[in-house]
Amino acid sequence: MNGVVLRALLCAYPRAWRERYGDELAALIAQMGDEQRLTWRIGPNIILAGGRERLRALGLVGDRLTPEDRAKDGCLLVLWAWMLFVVGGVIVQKSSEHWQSAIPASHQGLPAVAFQTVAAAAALGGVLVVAGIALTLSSVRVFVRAGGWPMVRRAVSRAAALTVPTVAGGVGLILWAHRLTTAQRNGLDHRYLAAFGVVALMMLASLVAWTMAAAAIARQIGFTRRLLRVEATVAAAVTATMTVMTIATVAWWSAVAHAAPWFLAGTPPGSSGSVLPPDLATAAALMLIATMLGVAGTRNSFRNVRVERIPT
Amino acid sequence: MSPSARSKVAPSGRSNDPPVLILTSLAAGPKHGHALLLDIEAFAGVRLGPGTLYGAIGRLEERGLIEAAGPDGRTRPYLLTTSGRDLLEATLAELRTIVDEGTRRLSRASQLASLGGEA
Repeated sequence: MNGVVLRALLCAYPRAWRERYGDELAALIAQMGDEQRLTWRIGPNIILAGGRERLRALGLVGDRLTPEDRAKDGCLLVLWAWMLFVVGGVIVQKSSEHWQSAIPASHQGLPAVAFQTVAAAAALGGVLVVAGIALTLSSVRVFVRAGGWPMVRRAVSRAAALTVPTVAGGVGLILWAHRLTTAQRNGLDHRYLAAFGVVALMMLASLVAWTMAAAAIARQIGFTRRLLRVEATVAAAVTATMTVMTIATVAWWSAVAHAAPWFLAGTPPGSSGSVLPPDLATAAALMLIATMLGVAGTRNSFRNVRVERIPT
Repeated sequence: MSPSARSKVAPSGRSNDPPVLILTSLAAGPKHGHALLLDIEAFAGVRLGPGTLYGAIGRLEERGLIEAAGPDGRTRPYLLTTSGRDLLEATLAELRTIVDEGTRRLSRASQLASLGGEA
């Protein structure tokens, strides 16, 4: 196996892993090559193992050896699910702007209740996520005081570095939007549309980076059994809010599709059109996937938090 | 074996789990990656991929069950820690219990079958 192929294969691993084990793995493969022991399976084996390490680094999978780690991984999976849900929720929020003006007041009962339910559950879910993070702060403080900061510095710095231009871009976009008409904001002004897309991508990148930072920190700090139980309960509550929001969103969508299909199709009032716009379909798929991930994470954390070995 | 010890056993607790194989190999003394692969293939007949091997090494080291014994060119020998030795002992005890119980049951089933045949 030549050096270029080997280096490309090693890119399957996260950088931190490569820095620690990359040379050793490369040396092992070189030795296997010298002994004519390389087979076609080596490539897929490394790519799969590297992908797994990346998922582990993100806290998305955990084949850790202790129940404490598995329970933590379950909670982290719920955090990732929440992040995914937020993306879906933002799309729904954007797609549903001014829906009330498109539907006769006599038909607003069900969609209004569904929409308010989504908003209330979103607020509750957000508070729960913040509370779940806040509960770990004393453990984080202990970890940092014990010299752990270098282990998470890269992840936190990257998130902070992404957030600064994102906030600046967001503020700039809001100021710009105030000088535009509704039509211009909704696609007539192509420069605004492009800027909106860039800021939206930056927001997504910041969200992912902070979730990665939270996962990196959570993996390093110690959780007592009591704290894990509380975190598992919070994770279950967050998952419940995601479930409620998914159901309420589908209910709102169905009600609007029945009362004012032209709103979903983006066509003039009274006309017909598809009630399955791609943006809402994408958002609903994201919300559904996130909810399922949340259920899986909650189940995993509760199953492992009961094991006796976790310190009290 | 106590639940606390059992809960520390490698993911599936199977004898062909890479972590169990690595701990078993290192019980004979420190080895680097290549020596581990050859040894595991020799005593267990399992050919681990390099990605699988280093994935398991990473997890074992993260849990403090093995440790690198210092740089050795581009390869680093690994050795068992005290925790790793304890875990291996607990894992083997658990496997031994299953082997003994399975053997006992098979033996009993054979006896019953032979008694049935005679009747």
